[in-house]
Amino acid sequence: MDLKDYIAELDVKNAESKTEELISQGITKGDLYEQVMKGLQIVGEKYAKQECYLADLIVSGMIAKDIFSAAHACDNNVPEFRVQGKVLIGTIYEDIHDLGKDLLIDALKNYGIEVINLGVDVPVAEFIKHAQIEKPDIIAVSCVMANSIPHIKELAQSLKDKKLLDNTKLILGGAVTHSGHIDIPHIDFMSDDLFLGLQYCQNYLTERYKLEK
Amino acid sequence: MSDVLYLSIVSSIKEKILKGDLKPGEKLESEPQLMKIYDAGRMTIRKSLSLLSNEGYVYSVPGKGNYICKPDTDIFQFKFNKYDGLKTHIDKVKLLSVTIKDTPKGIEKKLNLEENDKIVEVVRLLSSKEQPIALEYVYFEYLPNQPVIEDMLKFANYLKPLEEKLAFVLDKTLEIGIELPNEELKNKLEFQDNEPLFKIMETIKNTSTKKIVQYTIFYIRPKYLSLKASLPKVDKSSNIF
Repeated sequence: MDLKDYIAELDVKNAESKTEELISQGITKGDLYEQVMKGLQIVGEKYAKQECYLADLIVSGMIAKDIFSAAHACDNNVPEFRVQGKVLIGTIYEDIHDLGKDLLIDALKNYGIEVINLGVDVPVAEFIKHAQIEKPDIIAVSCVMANSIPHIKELAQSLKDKKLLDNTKLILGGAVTHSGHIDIPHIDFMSDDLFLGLQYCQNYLTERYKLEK
Repeated sequence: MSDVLYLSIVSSIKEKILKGDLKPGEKLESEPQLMKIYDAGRMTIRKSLSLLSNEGYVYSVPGKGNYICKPDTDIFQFKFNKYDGLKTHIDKVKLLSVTIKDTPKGIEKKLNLEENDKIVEVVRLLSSKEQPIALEYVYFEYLPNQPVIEDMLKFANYLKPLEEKLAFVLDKTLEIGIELPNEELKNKLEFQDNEPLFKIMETIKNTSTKKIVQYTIFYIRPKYLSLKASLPKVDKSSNIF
């Protein structure tokens, strides 16, 4: 079996030993990268077909991260697994739900994306302040409580007015995204599906930074 | 005395034991003697003895005879249920996090795993009347293709259905300690003084596969838990005659 198959099977132990074997045989970083990405892609497809679940999605990311740090440890020419990019994330004001947000954070970090977590119950001004300081590629807002929707609208408008969305995507996750029709300006993407959120961030950042293989 | 001969023999011998006429360790009359005393056949006497043995009053040494048991007086048993055996009623169980991680040090031994194995860690906060009273860390091995996170988000006690299904093969062990809370525990349980907490560690093992199914650390403030244990009682209501 190839490395990609072990990743697709979520077989942590064999993926690890296969990586060691490939590294000792002098696999090129491009080939290694390709195998890992192919494996992750198969897991993603399985998830979409409901053949595997959130835990598997997260573990596949962990395996990828482990593989790249093993390769990096052996050879400094192999870059650490890094989809360059930065995500600023938080649960909007007057909402304290953090389960979904924290799962996305774990997943993003496993994919090598830098995450700045503002926590829960984050006032609009706080989002704005950190958006100005951190200059993230993506601002991700989590919201479960429908009564917090006005705060998201205020945040979106405020980010737009301050020209903080010129170079930054604004995305929304959480249960409000499917509570009927919600109309929030300047939102680039929204979903309550962790995988879709993860995929959006990954695709956008990969495209933006055009990873060198 | 019961109308059924073997049952009346049982209660007669039991009475002698309970009154102290027959003392622990003492030898019971031989089968022929008992047959004479109770005017009963061998099968009846054997049936009585086997019932007494089931109930823990006598034991038999093949070739030698039957003896009165010496009950162990330092084995205690208590009933423990995290969710409804406390001094207060748990009215809210909040799932704080579900995380998949490399097995933390110390936990890998409890679950018979190796350092690089992935585990699922679930943190739950139990409250009573808006007051957090206990914090629970649940660990189990990550197995591919299981909707663990999805189920966790839906059901508070993920293992309950499994526990019910496998009740006969699950072996549980409890270890109880007292620990001073760290900052995380203090914050989550919302108190500031250095009040020690009960730390209850539960290991659930599947005896047929020999695998550790789950390891739980349960921290609870002492005022909400008291442990009362007594000598094990034989439940006679369910004996099959």
